[in-house]
Parts: sequence; structure tokens; C-alpha cells
Amino acid sequence: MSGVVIVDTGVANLRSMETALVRAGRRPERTNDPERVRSAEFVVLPGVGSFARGTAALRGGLGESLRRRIEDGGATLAVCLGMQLLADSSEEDAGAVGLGVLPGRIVRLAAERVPHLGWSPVAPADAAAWPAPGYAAFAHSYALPAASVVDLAADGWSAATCPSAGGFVAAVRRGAVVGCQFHPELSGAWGRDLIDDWLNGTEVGS
Amino acid sequence: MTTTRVIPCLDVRDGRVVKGVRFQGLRDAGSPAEQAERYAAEGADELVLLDVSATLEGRRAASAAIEAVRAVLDVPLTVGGGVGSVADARRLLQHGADKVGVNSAAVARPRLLDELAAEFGSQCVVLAVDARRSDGAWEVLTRSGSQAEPLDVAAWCAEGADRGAGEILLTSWDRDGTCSGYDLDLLRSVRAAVSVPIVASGGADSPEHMAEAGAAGADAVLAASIFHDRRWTVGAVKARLAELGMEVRS
Repeated sequence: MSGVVIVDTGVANLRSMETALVRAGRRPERTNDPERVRSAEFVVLPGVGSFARGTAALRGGLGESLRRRIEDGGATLAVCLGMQLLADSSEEDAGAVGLGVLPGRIVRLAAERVPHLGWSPVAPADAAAWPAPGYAAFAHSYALPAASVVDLAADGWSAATCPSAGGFVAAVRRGAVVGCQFHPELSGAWGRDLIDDWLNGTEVGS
Repeated sequence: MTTTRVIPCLDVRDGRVVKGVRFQGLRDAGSPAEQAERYAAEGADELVLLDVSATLEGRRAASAAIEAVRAVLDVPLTVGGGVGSVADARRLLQHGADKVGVNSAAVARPRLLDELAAEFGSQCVVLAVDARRSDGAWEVLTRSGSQAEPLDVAAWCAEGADRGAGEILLTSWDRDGTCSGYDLDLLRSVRAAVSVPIVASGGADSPEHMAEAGAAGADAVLAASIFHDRRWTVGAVKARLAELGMEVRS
């Protein structure tokens, strides 16, 4: 099945992402059907609320569909809590289990100011040179620690980091699978380019 | 590091942008979507839309305004005004808000902050506080500035952050619309009380005022009149802030 679907877990605010995808010339549909999530051409996993809430929303087949499409390299964009849900676990909710496609544990930001709200610089952490350095809009209290970059590389992920709020992994990419701790749909022209590149399959650095 | 955000504020009544002095004498300042589009193009880091409508019809017009603003805006949007429940907040988020501001209802029932944070996460919950100087301290005003509460501003902000507010939108009633600069003592007092981000509001007339607010502990600076009256563009303000040594998103 083709098209762009947004995983609708019933708690996230989907409007800004929908608007961004419409701006990119797509007609996104909301779904919570595991089959559609498995087979859609493009899948966006938005995120809001807590880690435990997010993992609970992915039970009943959604999480398994996501894991399989990500392992197959299907075009997937996981945003904010959505990216965190790809990790093994989170300090936010010790008992909750993530999808485990990103190695590591999500930790609370070690910063003077939490939540980390607003615009901070993002730059590539490796030779993949993705994404283009720029300012991204963040709204979060937890993130993948910057030290995870090594384990990510071992699993084939390129990464970008943000030096603000104590430093953390701001984005990951493996082929058509992209995770963003920031909100590309709220990151102005820079975010628009990132979404366009993802939709157009632009392989930066290849 | 995290840049200082410059945030134009749209006070919206019955679907139109308005602006007054100390919350009174509101005059028309244009269409919300047109203003939003212009400010986004100028480099606004975020927009705040406060619905100050007094009627149900006005609220409906505000909903349409939020949707129209969202359609043209690719930066974060905070919406406040009349939020009294989780259902109200969800409605604003569905119309296109990214963060929700709550004011009077949280004073009346502080647990609302816990409920909003549990439902949407702290990063989504903005505690809006209107502060007025009173005997060397600041008292909390509710109901669009018309009612004084027996609450100290810094203590209330600290309680709000503890309950789950992820940001404080701190407005000086004394300075609102007066173009005489932010209340820096107020900012310092709240900065000392909370670790969540603070948005300074009320009194901005120049980038110098905004730089002062940043030095006093503000993470973001909100302004309305200077942008609505076109005395400054957002881009010119940010260029000047950069000259003054502040880190802003270019």
C-alpha cells in the first residue's frame, strides 16, 4: 500500500505534522492499523506524553509492525517521543520496554533548564554528514545520551548531536529510517528540507 | 547553545488580533493568519496566541483563527485563553496548538496542571502568570487582570513547575503595553524560584529591553506592540540581539 500514514495512538497532537506533510505535497492519513503501518510507503511515528504511555499505545501489533518495517528499512520518521520509543528503554519509566531498534537507554537531560524548549544547533556526529547543520525546535526532558553514538554506528546508524541541555543524540538515520528528537515539522525551512529529503529518498552523503 | 527565542504574541478577540494597555482599551491589529505568516517569514522562533474573547461566538472564531495560523506556521505555536480542563487543552491541540497555556483555571484548581502534564507531558504545558507589583512583591492576577489573588508570584510559579508546568509565561501587568521595558526584578525573582524555561512578557519596546530580560534569566522574550505597530521586524530585532551578544537562531 502506498502513501503516507501517521501512527495515531490517540494521545499525540498530529496537526502540525499533518500540516507539514501537506505542505510537502502529500496527503497523510491517520491510522492505528498494524497492517497499514507495516505496508505503507511512508510511516510517521509522532510522540507526545510519557514513555510508558507511548509503549502501551504500541502494544497490540503496532509496535511489532514498526519494528519489522524498520528492520526491513521501510521509510519511517519517528519524532520526539517517537524516536525515544525506538530505544531499548527509558529512565522515565523503568518498567516499560521500547522497540529496541536503537541501542541504548533514554535518560533525563542533565541540564540547568529542563524541559529543553526552543531552538538549538544540530550537527552531524560522523562522516555521513547528515543532516545539514542547522537550528532545530526541541520540546523534551529526555533523550538518547551523546555517548550512544558509538553503539549506533556499530548498528549502522549515522547520528547527529546537539550540544545544548548537556548534549544528546538529536537525530539518527539508517537509510530511509529517520529518528528526530527535535520536531522537524516545527523547525522552519531547515525542518522542511529534512522532511522533503526523507520523502524524496535523498541519500545524503552517498 | 539553546538560543533565546523571540516570540510575537497575538491577542485574539472574536477572531481578530487586538492590543491594549494593561489589558484594557483593545484596538484592532489585524488578521491572525496574516500576522502569523509575516512573523514566521521574518524569523519568529515561536508564536503565542492568547484568546481573550469573552463570548462563545468569540471562542469559535478563535478556533478558526488557530487553524488558520497553524496552516501557515512552521514553528511552535502556544495557545492560551479560557483553558479550564484537559478536554479544553485537547481541543486546542487538535486545532493545531503545540503547547497550551493555562492561567486562571490553574489558580482556581492547581491540580489541573498535574492532569495536563500527565496527559500531554510537561513540555506541552505552559503556566501563564499575570503579575502586579504590590508592596515590594508581586501578586497574581487572574481573569484577564481583573482579580487579585492571595498568591505570591514566585511561589505560585514554583508550585506550578512542581505540578508539571514545563514553562512559565510571565507577564508584568504593570508594564503590559507601556513600552517601558520588562520588569527585570520580577524576572529575577521567578528565575530564582524555578528551573523550567521562562518567557518574559509585558513592556518590550526594543531589542535592548529583550537583552536585559535575557540577562535577568528569561529564556524567551515575548512582544506584541512593537511588532504589530511595525516599529521593528522580528528579523531586525534578532540581528540587533546578535550584535548585543545574545545567541539567536539565524
